[in-house]
Amino acid sequence: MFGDQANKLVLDAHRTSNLPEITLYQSDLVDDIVKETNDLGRDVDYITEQQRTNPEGTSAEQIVALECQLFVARLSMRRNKRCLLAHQKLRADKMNEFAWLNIDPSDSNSTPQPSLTKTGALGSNYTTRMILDNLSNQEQEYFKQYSQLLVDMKSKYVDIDLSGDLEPPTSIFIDVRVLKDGGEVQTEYGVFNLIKDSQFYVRKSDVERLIQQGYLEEL
Amino acid sequence: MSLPSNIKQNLMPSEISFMTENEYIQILPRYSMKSIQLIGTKIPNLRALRREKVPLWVALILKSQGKCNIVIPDWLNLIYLKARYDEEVKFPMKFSDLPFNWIDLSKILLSKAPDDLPDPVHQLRSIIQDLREIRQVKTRKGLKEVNESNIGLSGLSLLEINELRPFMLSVMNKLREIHESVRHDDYDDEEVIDVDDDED
Amino acid sequence: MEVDDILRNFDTEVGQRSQKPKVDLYTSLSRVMLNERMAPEILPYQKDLLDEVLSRITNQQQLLLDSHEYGDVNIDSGIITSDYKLQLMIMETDIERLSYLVRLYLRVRLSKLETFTIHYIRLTGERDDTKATLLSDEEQEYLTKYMGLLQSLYNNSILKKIPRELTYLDEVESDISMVTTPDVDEMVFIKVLRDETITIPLEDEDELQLEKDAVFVVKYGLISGYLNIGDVILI
Repeated sequence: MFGDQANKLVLDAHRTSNLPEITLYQSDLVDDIVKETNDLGRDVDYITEQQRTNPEGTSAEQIVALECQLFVARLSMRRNKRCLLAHQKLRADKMNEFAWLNIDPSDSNSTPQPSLTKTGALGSNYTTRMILDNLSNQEQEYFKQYSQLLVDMKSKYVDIDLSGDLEPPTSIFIDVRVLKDGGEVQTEYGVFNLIKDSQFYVRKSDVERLIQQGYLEEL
Repeated sequence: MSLPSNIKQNLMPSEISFMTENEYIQILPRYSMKSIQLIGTKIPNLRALRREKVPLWVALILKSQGKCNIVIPDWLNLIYLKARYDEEVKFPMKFSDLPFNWIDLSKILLSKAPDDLPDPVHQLRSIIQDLREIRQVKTRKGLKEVNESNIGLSGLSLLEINELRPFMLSVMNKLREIHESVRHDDYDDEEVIDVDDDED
Repeated sequence: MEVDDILRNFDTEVGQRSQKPKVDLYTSLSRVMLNERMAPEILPYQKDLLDEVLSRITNQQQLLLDSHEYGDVNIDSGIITSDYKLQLMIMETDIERLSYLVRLYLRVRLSKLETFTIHYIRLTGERDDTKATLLSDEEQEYLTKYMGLLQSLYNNSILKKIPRELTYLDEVESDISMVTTPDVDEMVFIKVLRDETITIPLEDEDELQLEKDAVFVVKYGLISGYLNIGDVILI
């Protein structure tokens, strides 16, 4: 049945739209749909040519049948096209999402992407993983150019970091307590010494690693 | 898409807190501090024990460093809140008069400035919870009035509104679709009748 | 208090009295961001406000850098107190908070341009006055370039492989246009700012009365005019 393949593609797109990754480009399915569309196109050409060259040789009944055939063929072609475009648009949207994260896509399945630590504002269906091999050649080119578009756009707003965190900045500076002795820590706001039980008011991003390493705790 | 879908048309609770932090509040400085010219506002010269108004986020920084006390708004005390609760009970069709950000503002102050509060934190927390619950019950009753074109929610705070948002939007958009398809049918019927008339 | 402080305080006090009550930068930026966020269509770019905020952020960042440098140079002199550091921290927080609002505002707008690309290409190509106020120059350029990217992705992976008669991106089929447009009938949450009550006519000779401070859920299309003049805000 015409359109079955296209339907499959749309269902697949729908299924994968909420995944945090981009699935493998279904090139076989896409090729099948393209082929079906071109076959239909040839049918349309053939029928119209027939109608043009031999208008008398067909009965009224035949004319109606041909008109119907034409109508269905044209409709199916357009439907196929829209399914292909919708599928491609959805994948483009997911590539865009990923591009805003400023992380490199991985080359293949063998190198797993580090999971993102800051996903607060992103939600579970945001595209946070992308394997380059899952993209078609055209998509890889698109992704490259879109990333460049972002770089250009960001360079116009250097002061506000356009691709920065979308979670509101509620605690940029925090109070910390030193849990174990360590060395001197240099920050833009001066030097402090890691002496057990002392407390400091510091920029959170300056001490995140020290918190992970167990030198400090946030109060 | 260049924007996470969960940010579209909905607010995260952290954003509502963020907006509340931009509101001004009175502080009672404990030390002097020279004025600071910020981008959107100016923090005046602070002198010990002379009240000043500053954005809440500035107040919270100063408070965390022991530089000031926060002057608690006059509605955040047991007597006032208890009176509002009694009103909520007495007038089932009306929300009592509370600030647009009463829930998040009280939440922030309860956790960041507990020693400035006039009443014990646990008692305040409990009356706030009671108020929230009785208002939620009212809201649910009020939602029976939902129709496809509009609904009034006056008297609710932003946080309370935001909690209703996903539900209300889905219900109202559904109603809208039904309403429109019914109207569309009416229109089609009329057209058919017109054609018949012409043929007559 | 020092003399220049007194003078400065006097200046601002007089300034405040002579002007009509003005909303502060935080409030206007938050409102602009929220309106944009909750509106189904892109709203006119708030050029004056954004120009102002962006240049102030740049200046303040420079000032902060200079102050850090000043602090580093004078670290042993006793000028640099813990108050000095605290003041810089407050300045930095202020910059971060405003940057966040601007960032969110711009990102929301870009995402609308990416969702309704063809629609906005058409709209901004049509009339010069729309073009002049709807998007910033940067956004207009982004839109055009993005359209180009999308077009070549569609062309290379689909359109050039199928019959020529199908290669248009904006055809209308069975009454459904291929061009996605913002749904102006979408429901939005509004808060009324205007002092005088706004009356909005509804179907069947009904009307909706919007008094000051009232909160309503209404179709966006009904109030979009009042939104643009600031009589209502989206929440």
